[in-house]
Amino acid sequence: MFKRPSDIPFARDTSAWFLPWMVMLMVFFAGLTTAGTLSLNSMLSRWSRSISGSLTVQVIPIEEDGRINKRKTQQEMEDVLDILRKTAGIASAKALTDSQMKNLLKPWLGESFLLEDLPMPHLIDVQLLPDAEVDLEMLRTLLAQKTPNASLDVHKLWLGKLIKLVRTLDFLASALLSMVIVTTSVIVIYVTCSSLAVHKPVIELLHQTGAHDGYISKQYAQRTALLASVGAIVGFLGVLPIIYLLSSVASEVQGGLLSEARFDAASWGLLCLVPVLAVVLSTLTAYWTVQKTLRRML
Amino acid sequence: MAEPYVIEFDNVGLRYGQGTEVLKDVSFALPAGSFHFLTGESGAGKTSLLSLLYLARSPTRGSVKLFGKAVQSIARDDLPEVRRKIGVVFQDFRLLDHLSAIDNAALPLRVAGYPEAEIQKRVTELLMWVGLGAHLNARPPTLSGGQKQSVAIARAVINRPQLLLADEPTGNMDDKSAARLMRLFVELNKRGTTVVIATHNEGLIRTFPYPRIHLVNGRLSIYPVGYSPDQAYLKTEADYV
Repeated sequence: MFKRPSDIPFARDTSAWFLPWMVMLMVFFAGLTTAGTLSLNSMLSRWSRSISGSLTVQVIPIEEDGRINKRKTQQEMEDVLDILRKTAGIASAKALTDSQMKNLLKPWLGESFLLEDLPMPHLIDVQLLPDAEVDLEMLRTLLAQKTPNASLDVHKLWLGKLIKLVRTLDFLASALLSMVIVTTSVIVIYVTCSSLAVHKPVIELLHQTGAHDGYISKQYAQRTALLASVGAIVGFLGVLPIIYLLSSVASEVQGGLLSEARFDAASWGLLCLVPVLAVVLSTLTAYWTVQKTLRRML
Repeated sequence: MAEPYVIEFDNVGLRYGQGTEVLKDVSFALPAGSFHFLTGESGAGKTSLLSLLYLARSPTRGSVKLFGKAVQSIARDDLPEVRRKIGVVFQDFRLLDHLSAIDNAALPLRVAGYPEAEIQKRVTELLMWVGLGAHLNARPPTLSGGQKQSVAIARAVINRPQLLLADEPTGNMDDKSAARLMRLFVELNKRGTTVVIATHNEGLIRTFPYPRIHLVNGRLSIYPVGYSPDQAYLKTEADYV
């Protein structure tokens, strides 16, 4: 059975023709922004989980007469480990082995290098007890006094800067999303008001035959939902290859932040909400605009 | 109990914007089930008076009561229910060109939320009765003036209105069709519908013996059956049919 045409001749609305294009752009930009924000936050949460409960102490090899004194360096390592193991709140302190060091350097130096040829500091990985309050300032002072070649690297400070950066990007993304939402809403309002002006005689006739405002608003909402759906689907399909491309490039970057930027099932779920929300927003805006405008008519 | 008067105007004035009044001190009352012709020269205010009756406008001054309720006091959300009691045949038909004859005539039933099966049945029957059985799915641009008028009339009466207003309903019809249409209005009137027909057709007024409301420059007079505006002015309760 064929669907009955709408009472309002929407086919004559030339201003409505660009609504799908606007919704398409809105979904495209909102989708990219959402994907970027979700990836950054996923990366941050992975980094936060892996390093927020740890510290690193590095010990610079001790040089005498232009040569590294292995014995003294080893003694200093032992002293540092001793201090760390006696510090309250520390669960474990382990010096990184040569093979662990090589693995760390591999992304930058490749496979063929000799660790002994490099003036690399020795690293000690320190794991903290969960929820432990370690007095880092006291630990730093103690290490400086007893082992002058050792220095404390607190990841929390570095992570704090990263969090600040990501939060700033989150804010910018939210501002961009708000701008896209406001712009699209304004365009939907403009298109709806233009259409109401064009079809004023038809609307007066519908009112005269006993139509409630809701009857007319519903027809506008259905029309807008249809136009917005077309734009939303095209916009969403446009975002997918870009996300796939960026994910592929990011995963190939070894040892960096980008490789941690994953897009999991929950993120895909949230991303799929973008076109749905765009259609809902456009439809509700059109409905609300018609209701408000008709209230001013007799 | 039926309302004693379907329409009550008390000292009504209407002006558009800052212009002069197109209706001046209009006072009259039409009882339920009455039938009146509305006459007057072009520009006398017939269409303006009708627009007050089908709630397209509010009076600038005075009081209009429909079905016993002051129009100004009806809440906006209740207006559709009042409008559903009124059928209107517009002079320019006001058909929707993108809809078929059947969909045009079905509008009052659709907005009132009738089931589709009942709409189809009632509208088809009525359109066949007005001679448009072969044009149910035709769109207005493909219909003649008389056929368009028939669709407009079908739309006005499909919801069995309590008040029927018609602005020059026989303007595009031959005498035979006009007489047939008038018999439809008379039949509706016999079933209790109050009818007001704006017309210039003196032949029609002579053929169908109903009183007339006459407008001259926005001022109204009521004439009993058989009287014309050039005869004595009468306005008493007994004059109503």
